[in-house]
Amino acid sequence: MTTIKSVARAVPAGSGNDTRAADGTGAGSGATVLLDGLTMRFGERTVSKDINLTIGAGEVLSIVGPSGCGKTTLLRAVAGLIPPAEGAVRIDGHAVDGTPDGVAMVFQHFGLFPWKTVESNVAYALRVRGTGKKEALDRARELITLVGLSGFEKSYPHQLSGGMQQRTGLARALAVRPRLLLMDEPFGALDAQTREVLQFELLRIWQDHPVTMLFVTHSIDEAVLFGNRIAVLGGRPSGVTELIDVTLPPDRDRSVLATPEFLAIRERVWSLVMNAESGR
Amino acid sequence: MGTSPATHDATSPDTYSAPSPVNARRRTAALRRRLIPLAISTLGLLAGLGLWQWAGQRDPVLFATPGRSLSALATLTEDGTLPSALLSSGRLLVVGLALAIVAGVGFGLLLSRARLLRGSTDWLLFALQSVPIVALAPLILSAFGFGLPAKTLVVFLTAVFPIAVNTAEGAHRVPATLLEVARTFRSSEWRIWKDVLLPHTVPYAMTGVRQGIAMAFVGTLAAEFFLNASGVGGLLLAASTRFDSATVLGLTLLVSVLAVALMGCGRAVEGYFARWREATS
Repeated sequence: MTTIKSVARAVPAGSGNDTRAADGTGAGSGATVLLDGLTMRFGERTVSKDINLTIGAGEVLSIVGPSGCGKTTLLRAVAGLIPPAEGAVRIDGHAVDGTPDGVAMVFQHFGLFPWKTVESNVAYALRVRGTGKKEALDRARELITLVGLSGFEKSYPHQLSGGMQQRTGLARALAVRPRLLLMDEPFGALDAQTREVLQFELLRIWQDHPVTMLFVTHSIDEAVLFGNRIAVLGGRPSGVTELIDVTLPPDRDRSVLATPEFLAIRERVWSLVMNAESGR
Repeated sequence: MGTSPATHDATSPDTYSAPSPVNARRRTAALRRRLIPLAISTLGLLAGLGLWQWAGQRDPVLFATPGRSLSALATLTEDGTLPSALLSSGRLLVVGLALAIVAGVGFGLLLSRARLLRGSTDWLLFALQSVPIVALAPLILSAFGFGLPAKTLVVFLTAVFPIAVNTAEGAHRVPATLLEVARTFRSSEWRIWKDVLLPHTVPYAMTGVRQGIAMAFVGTLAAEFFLNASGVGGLLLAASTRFDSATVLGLTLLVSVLAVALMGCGRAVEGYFARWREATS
């Protein structure tokens, strides 16, 4: 497994900053998201009710809550995959109807095309929007290097470990130079060790390319580590029971896990999630 | 169709070798795995031939010996009847099968994106698949005039259902997540077909095509049996009515060999399109 350091070195000198300058994704850039009285229903069952949230440009909002509380449903509504029963999702002020341009999603079970190689899977994101084959592949290879998968360009997903598959999924999402990243428990299907490695790599990549991110997770550590704020969902139908500001420095790395602030916020979120769980 | 479609080749994961350097022991093990079935089938073939020879010697009228069967084939080849019969049957088989593949795969794929069509026609597909078309061959032939078009229709009908059913099954099982992935990347409908539906469905369709090939052989012979007998089926029928067991057995053997060869081609094509699958190597 590649460490954070070696991956950072594997990126061509200055390429992180170059791409950032090229696509203008400087700090604070990203889409704004507004959930306006969002109610989600599956048939007769109301999953979540009247959710109001505003996510600023470049902000990371972690979404936690007991299983089945509608976290993923919420994310899918933002992606425009399922229409809300009531209310609306607005991205940059525009009501969502189908996934808007500049929005990319990372799936819990990776969602890779098993018949495409790693590089074709990444290039896919660009090919569907009409980018030429060569250009798409060049960009795909850059991203494959960025996520530490050099040498596996021609591998098929089934030949890779879960962690490597999710690196591919991440590279594919980044390929569209998203202004909003939707993370659907991206590390939920990985073993604990791989999960931790990937968390810090994503953190590093995000710090180089800060965009707005909605981060659905089961892991409270992960929610605190990534979030500027944390939305705790609970109740039935679920609503936002608490919105917590994460008062940690923006430049976070592994050492932050041991700080008293981190532990305090973690405890607070934990007890809120547990309350939500027992309240069900 | 006892086995579920497209899973025959998904054998145990140990037939899959990782892309990492394969060591020698593993290679010999793989070789052994291939050689043992080959040896067993060769033994079985020899035993079958022996049995045939023995039966032929005991009852020369009902069972010609393998040698006499082969020489009957040689005679037919020399006087030109067999080559022209093969050509005529081959043409019938290929045209009927090709039409069945186009229609079966096309319809099966269409079902995947048109829910209404699927709901309203899939029961019909299953019902028609269980109809023995061969039994209906005389009816079809007399309704459509015993000519080449009518015979082609019989071949088409015998082959089209397994192809359509397997294709529809594959198209129906396209993982919902992948369709969602395509939607989040704002894929056009045409790209959904190219990136998701077709690659996922082709291996299933090829399973159907392999079954269709076997059915088309039966269909071809059946179509040639009735009234305006022609081709290999005609030769077979003629030999059968004059109790020429040497020709009957020789032709049967020839047809089986051809069918196995064509199925082998089908399997190779199927393997090519399914090379991304975990258990195929």
